[in-house]
Amino acid sequence: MPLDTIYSVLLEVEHTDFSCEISHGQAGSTGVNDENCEDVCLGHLDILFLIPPSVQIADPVSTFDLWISDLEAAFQNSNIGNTVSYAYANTTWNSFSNGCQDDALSISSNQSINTLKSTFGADVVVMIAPPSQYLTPLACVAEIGPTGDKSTAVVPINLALDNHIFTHEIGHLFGGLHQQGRYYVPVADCASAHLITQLNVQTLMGIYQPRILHFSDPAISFMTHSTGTTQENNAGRIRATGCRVAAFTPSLNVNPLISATENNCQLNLQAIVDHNNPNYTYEWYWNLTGIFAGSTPANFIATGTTLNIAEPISDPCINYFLHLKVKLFGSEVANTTTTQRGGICTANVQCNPPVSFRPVHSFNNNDNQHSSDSTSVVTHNDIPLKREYRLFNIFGQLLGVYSHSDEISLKNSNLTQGLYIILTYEDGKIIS
Amino acid sequence: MNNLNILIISFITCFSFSCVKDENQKTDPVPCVTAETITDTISGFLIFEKGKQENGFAKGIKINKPFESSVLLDDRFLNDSIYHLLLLTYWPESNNYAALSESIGLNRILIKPLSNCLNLTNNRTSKDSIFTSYGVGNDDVGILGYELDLNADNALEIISFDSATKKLKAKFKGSFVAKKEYLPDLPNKVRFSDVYIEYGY
Repeated sequence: MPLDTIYSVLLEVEHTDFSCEISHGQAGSTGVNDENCEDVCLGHLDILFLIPPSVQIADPVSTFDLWISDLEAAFQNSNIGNTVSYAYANTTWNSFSNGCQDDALSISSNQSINTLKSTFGADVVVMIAPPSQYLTPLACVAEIGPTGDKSTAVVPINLALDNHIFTHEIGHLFGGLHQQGRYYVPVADCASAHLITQLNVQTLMGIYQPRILHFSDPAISFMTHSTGTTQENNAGRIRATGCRVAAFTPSLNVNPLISATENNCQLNLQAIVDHNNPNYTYEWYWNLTGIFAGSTPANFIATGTTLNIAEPISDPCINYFLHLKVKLFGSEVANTTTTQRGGICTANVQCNPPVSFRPVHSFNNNDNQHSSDSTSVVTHNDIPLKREYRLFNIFGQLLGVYSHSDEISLKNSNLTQGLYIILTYEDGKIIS
Repeated sequence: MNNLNILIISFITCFSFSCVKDENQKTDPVPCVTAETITDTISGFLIFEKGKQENGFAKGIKINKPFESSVLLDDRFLNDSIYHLLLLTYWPESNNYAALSESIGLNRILIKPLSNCLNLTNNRTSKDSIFTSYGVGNDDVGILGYELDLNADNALEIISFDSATKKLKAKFKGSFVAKKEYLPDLPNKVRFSDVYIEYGY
């Protein structure tokens, strides 16, 4: 979701129904019919963005977060349960020509780029091209997917969000098509874009514009109009090939966790990852906002798998955020954030009165029924935790992620009185 | 003495006429791209649509059939003398849109006076030859990529170019080999010959 970035995008999020296990690219997850748009075989897509010397990106994380949020929103709108993560790296490849597809093929066969792809556990590579590098087509893929050795897209830096070009190219790498009969390769005859003639818009895989943020699917509507037919079901195609694309390269599966403990009144931090790699480096940061992307200030602590440091905040009534970046050859491959209360050696301190809070949603819990009246300001102490919660301020900035305990306590959150937004996530989806 | 002067004057006169003649030869070169005798008899390959040819056109021979395309000139370089040239063909129109099919890319053409016949290359980073690509796709999706056949007779001939108006007349010949085996209507080897290009007129 884009709410934790410094930008915002308009999302058209509709219903979702994740019905299958997610493949993270392990062996044995490729049983998919090439001609089928009905089977569901979901997967986790690892994207590697490559930044060549001729492209300058001031803030890669915010840039790529935004691109990924566009793709994720398209997946959600189209009931596609594939999940996505990304890494980025610099590359010395800089031999752009005036032919996008020739460049994409050249990148696909470049040995050093394929080594990077393997190192980062990436299923697809997206080369960032200089602004408006190509006259036509504006961006491209090497071949229609799913093909492991040609899973390369080239996207000019300034055009990724222009009519969802980045998401369009990723759709091709899953096997999404413009229309049938023009490819000369075995493609599913059910995958094709859909034109909503009444609105004069196309679904995402349409060639011409404007596009809506939906892959075609006869079961899903946009403004009361169906977004597909049985022969125009790119969403079905992407659902069917998700696990196959995910299996192009084994994922790194970093899944970092932060362990924060007290040791002689010092803060002991430990980075825990699922699959360790001796080339990983661990960078630690802290701040009071919980926002570690974009230009938001963050305080660098140190680098290391384990640290024993003086706590950054010693006030027991202030919570702060700890952030861990896992890097591989200088490029971030994973991160995680956790909250930490100050004053680890301070006990039994009575802090300020709890924050006033106006919940935007009511929900029930078997053990602890909590309801809110939207017309009144509710002073609350504890919110029963159900799955994961994300707290935002009125500007949409992420203030905290709460999933590490059975309940959320905002007693000592250091929040000023005001209006806040809390979103409830289940399996990565917003459910309220 | 008079005879000697006459002899010297005659010699200088002849020498100077000889120089003028040499200059004329340099400004009126022999064309390097001309009509060729067609020997390839294959058939059944695709000839795509020529497109709207709004900015320019190309006409010539593809293997053994007439070929036409649209032309784009990319002049967005810091160096005023370097240009990209694109020859483009299209799939038949569908829903009022014709998707791009073939693309011949002639990259970083350094247009200089008296350098009308330019070498083509596969080397993307070449400084003295023109990196030339050819491929078939469906708009932004690659279908079959080719590479220049370096054993063939390939060239780009600049007939005239006005850097102020960007008006260009040129000719092109080149052979390409597919990067993988493909269907008969997308042949393994493609030669473009005697292709006349006009842009900006």
